[in-house]
Amino acid sequence: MVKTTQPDTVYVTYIATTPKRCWTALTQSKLTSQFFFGRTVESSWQKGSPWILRKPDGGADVRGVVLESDPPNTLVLSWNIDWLDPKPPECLVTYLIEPVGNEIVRLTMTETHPTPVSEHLLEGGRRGWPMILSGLKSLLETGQGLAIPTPSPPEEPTK
Amino acid sequence: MDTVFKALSGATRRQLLDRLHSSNGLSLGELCAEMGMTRQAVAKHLTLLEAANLVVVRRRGREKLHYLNPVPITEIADRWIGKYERHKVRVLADLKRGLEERSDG
Repeated sequence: MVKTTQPDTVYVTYIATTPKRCWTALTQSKLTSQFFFGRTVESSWQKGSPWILRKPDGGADVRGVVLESDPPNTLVLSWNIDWLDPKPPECLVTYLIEPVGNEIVRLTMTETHPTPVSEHLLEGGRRGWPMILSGLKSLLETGQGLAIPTPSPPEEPTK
Repeated sequence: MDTVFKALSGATRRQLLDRLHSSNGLSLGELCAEMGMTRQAVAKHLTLLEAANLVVVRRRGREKLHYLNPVPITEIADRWIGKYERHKVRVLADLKRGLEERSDG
């Protein structure tokens, strides 16, 4: 069960896209790498399965478990940053994707800390998340990586 | 975007955002207590902030809790500031803040 603690942070952005495309952008590395500070993701995105957020150098940044998964509307992830010393307590990140009109979605991201964390750590989130969400919006609305097919690698010279 | 600028143009509304920046997820009552304004006046300002998506409301039982949502401001910054420039602007903003805090103390 997901704890019903009040979230510490609630961010909302309206995106001219479909819930399905928004879900895809959050769950596929090809797209996350374009708005999530170059990070990639790994998971089957099914309830109970592990998930990993990797830094551009391949190192694990965040690890956790998929606590709820209802594509393309709800994704709840536990969030552990193991490499920080001291390791901060686990937090929860939820994405709620709601259609609000013809090809417009309201994406709500919440961060909940069941155990209080330092102001410094919260500040990091307050800086990062708006950039991530704004980047996601512009990626989906300008269509890069979606409307434009991914370029295939150059062909081998035939000679 | 117009609604964001309009919402930010009021000093009281900026003060409400400052309040939520220092303590997120406050109820109308908690916000009124510090603003020295009537509930109706504060509620009216909050409605404008909500319409601009600068404040997001979550329900807790009968109460409405108000959360600061800076994403529309970042979206405006993204329009005129490139990704890499933004980092430089942030460094400058940090420097300005650091120097000003120092001169305060």
